[in-house]
Amino acid sequence: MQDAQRVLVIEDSRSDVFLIREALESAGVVADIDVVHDGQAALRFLEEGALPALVLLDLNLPKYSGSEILRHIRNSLRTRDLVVLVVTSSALSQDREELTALGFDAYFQKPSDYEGFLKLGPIVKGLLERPLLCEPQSEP
Amino acid sequence: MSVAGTEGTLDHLLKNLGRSGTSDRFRLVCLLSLEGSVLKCSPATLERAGLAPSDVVGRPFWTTMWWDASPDAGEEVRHAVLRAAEGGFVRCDVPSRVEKNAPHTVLLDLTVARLRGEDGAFTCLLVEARDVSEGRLAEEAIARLTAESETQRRLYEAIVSSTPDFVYVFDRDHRFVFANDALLKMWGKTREEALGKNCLELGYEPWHAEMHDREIEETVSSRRAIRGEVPFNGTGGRRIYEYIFVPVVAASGEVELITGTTRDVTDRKTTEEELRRVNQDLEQFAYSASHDLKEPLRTVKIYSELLVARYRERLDGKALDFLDNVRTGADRMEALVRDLLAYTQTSRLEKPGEPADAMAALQAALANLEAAITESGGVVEAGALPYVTVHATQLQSLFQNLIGNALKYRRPEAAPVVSISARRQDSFWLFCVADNGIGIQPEFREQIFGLFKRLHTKDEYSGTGIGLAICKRIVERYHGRIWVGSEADEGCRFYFTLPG
Repeated sequence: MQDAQRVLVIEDSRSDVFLIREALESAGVVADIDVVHDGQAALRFLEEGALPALVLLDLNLPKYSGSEILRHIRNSLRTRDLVVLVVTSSALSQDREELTALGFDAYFQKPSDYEGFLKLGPIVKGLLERPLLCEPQSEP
Repeated sequence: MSVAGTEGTLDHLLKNLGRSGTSDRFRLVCLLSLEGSVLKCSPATLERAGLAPSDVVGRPFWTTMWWDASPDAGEEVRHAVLRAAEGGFVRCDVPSRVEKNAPHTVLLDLTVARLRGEDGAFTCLLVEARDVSEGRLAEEAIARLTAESETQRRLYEAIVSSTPDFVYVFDRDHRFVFANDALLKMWGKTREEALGKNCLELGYEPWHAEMHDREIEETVSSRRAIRGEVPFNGTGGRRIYEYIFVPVVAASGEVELITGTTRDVTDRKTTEEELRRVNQDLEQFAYSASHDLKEPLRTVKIYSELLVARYRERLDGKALDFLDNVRTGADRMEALVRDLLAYTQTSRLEKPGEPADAMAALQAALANLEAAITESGGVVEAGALPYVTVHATQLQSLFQNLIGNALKYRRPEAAPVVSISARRQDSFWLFCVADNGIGIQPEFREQIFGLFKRLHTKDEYSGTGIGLAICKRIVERYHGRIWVGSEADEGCRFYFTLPG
């Protein structure tokens, strides 16, 4: 049996972390979920922790913003190929332009009803089951 | 007393001198003794005066009728006569009465000279006087005019030199031919240093001098005033100036000179700039705040929903009521935040390029209002609508808010009827959205356009109090106006103007 995949959730709101867990669970996603609550902790985890198969990235975070973290991810050899799902309540156009330039794999705008939030689950599931285009590179 | 041997000659002389010649200007000719008593006067002189020889002969000349018009005249004449008797040739201007029976006076140019007898000794004095009033009047008029224009000149100079504005004049070769004190002070130059020079020669930067050269030429060729605004580094530092060049057109129709006035508008500009920045900050704040408010709201909504969904059996009726209030409050706040965002975003759109079809905007609005129309059983009718130079989405938003209000504030007993029309008004289109609803009391017709202003409780009519504020903001962004008609009949008539 394949090991459970790792998912890193970068999200400062504990109530949203709970909803994310509910959404993943209801979609039958089997994953080891790591959670960090601010930008600094996120950067440390990405440098030192076990690399996840998927990052769920909130934009409005303490210390470093989501776009700063995404830039860091794309600029670092270790993390530049990570699959990133932006999960945010905002639809700010200026952010969106910057994020598009950096590159992300999917975008989920947090709805204000429970049923709507559960739709995050199938998206995560889809991203995790997406076939890899190439073999993961070993670290140099 | 007689003047022996000269009598005939003198009579002849008096006769000839006494004539006025071709003009009828008064002339006075008399012979006096060396003491100043009148010996004879020319017949014409006496005739004109209406005097007989006996009225004057033997009297001191200065006491005769001719000098009784003013107290000084007699005295002046006495001095003149006495000085002449001592050997001087005397000439002076004296006012004189011409006729015995009239108060009319003239100014006489009076000369007194000694005459020699045949023995070579001085025997008598000859007085001759001519009326020079007209000449003097003309001279006085010229002097008065000169003084007046001098006064005017000093007045203008005082005005021009005391104003803080710069006042100056260019000739056709773009050279300064006049500059007031304020301008010289700003330049830090004397009049002598500055006049006769053009902008470049006065140290203006080339782009600046060239700009003024172009403007002067344009003023000359168009014969119209031209305005501009420019920063300049003078003795007072870098300031912003507004100026106007005005052509001075000669009688020939040619532009002779170009006058200019320049005003320091730095303070006004700074204030405007600050105001704009404060407004921008406020808008940014409102935008961010309304945006950030959405996040916690979402949590409140979802978790109250979860509470009901998962714990319904363990909650009593009261707890469920409370939770219902939580959700209603959150819904309401969500609407507020959404509308506030829409409000702040009315100024975020770029200037429109294409004219928008008002009919298309209306139809888009009606599509969004479909549920409200169906639910209220309302009818919306529209006449022909024009193209207007505004953003289509903002026009749609105007219609949607106004028609939405018309449907919402309907009378319970009547289905709402809303009619939309437009007519030309100068460079604008005047729109009218009329309904048959509950109407608005006159005293509230101004305040309804204020942000968060409401006339009803949420239980009577839902709403955030932002819709009409959005309408006002949109309309004013295009320099239009919006108001509620003051007709006393039922319902409401909203009018607004948009450029088209």
